[in-house]
Amino acid sequence: MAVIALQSSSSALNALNTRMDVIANNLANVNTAGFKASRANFQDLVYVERAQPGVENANGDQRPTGLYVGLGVKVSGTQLDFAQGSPLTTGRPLDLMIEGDGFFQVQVEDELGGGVAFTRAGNFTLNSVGEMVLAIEQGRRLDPGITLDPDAVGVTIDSTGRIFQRLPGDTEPQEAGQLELATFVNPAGLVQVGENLYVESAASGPPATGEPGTDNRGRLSQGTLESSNVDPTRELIDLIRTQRAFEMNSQVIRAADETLQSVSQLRR
Amino acid sequence: MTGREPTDLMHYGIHLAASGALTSLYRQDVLANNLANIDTVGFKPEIVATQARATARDEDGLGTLPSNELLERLGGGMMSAPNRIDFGQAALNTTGNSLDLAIRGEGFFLVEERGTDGGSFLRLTRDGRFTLNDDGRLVMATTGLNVLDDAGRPIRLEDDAGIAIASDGLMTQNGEEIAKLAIVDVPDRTRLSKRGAGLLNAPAEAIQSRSTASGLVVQGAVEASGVSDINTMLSVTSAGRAAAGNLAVIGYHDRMMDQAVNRLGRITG
Repeated sequence: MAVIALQSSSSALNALNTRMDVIANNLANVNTAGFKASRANFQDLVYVERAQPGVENANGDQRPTGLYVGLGVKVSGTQLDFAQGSPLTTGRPLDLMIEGDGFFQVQVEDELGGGVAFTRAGNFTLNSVGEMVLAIEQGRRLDPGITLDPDAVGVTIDSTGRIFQRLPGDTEPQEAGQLELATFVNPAGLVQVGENLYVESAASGPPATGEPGTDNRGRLSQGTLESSNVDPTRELIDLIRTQRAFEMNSQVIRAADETLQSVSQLRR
Repeated sequence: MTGREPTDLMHYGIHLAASGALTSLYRQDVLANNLANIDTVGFKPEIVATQARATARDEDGLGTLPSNELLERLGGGMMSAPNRIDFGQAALNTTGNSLDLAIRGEGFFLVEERGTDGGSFLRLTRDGRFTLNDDGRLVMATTGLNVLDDAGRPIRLEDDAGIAIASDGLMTQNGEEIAKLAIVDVPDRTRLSKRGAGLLNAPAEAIQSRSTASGLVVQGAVEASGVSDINTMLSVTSAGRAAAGNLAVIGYHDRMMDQAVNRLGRITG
């Protein structure tokens, strides 16, 4: 009955609505450093197998089998795209970009993923006591923590994560710490918690930490930020497609409604 | 002679119209599902087929006995035929994601579904949105089912860096061969049925007799839905009109019977 058509189409409107939300969030973050685009994955719902009601064949001929009707579509989940964003040169000594698969680790509240969160956004700064923190409202500390001398005149971070600082009066820079990066078997399984942060989940697997430049962790580039990997062209094309699909499915709702109206008018 | 009475002449038309209306309603349901999946990766649309219903003599099981000559020439209306799946190639959309795969040409990816009793069932799919799970196994991103290699084994990777997949399905990581993806086909595709989530079900013997297909694997792309928006919209509209037309004919018959019973049969003026 046309009721199934109504439900299939409304499932499509729901799913397309969710995709519209995902696209809107991607586009909103087109200028967010270290942001990774998501996509909504669609899958078809179950199929009901049924013989056509009302019309039957009485003389023993084989009735048609394999008549089935699908029940629509749903969003099976969103999938993060961890493709590398393009480098944005800033010249700030504490802006870092990872050229590879790794994540910076920062300390967060224990309730949030066991105290450690992961990020691709490398816009670090120093807090009042000289600790390296993310330059966001919450000022998340780098994990393992690195403290620089507030008087240091030059900070250099090499591609393998070694941090050097030169104090006033010194001629030679001194090593001040070693940055570590984490990688995951399945980064797409990380949970997004906002603030450009991700926390591990059962799907992502545990983090494998190590120095930058080892095991695909990627090297660091100082004075550079990783820009958002959202491709505005693709998002806008997806937006047009989503909008058109939305319109078409709402037309089917109208068609099914008209059919049901004809049915209801059968009895005068 | 069967126990059934021959179809009565008066109500025959109403049944013909009902068969048309029911078939059109069913068509609309199937088309609505096609259109709902217009953006589902690897979705293959269903083609709704109709067939002529047997004539009054067959429907009534009269065999060679005399039947109503008038009805015999009228035919028996219509009914739905088993629907087919349109396995035609759809467009490939580039995503750039190294674990997004599409098949150009014939064939399906082979995935493994585990039953609640621990048994494993092989399913076919054209949905090549793959990812790694926490174990490092290659799985479908939507359902999490294992993707199998040409020997029917799950594929395990350390991470997704530096994976290259050749057009024959051979996966290499940093120059080392890891596995060869199964790209298979079954002898008779009409025996495939949909299971939802982009999966196709095949009878056990069809899966047993599967063969390597000629399709080529394209890395960094997914196959779009095979639904044609314009054709489907037109079909939805025409199915709706056909249903409305048939339902109107039922209404005419109803009014005709009203006249016959309440007006023609009236005794006083």
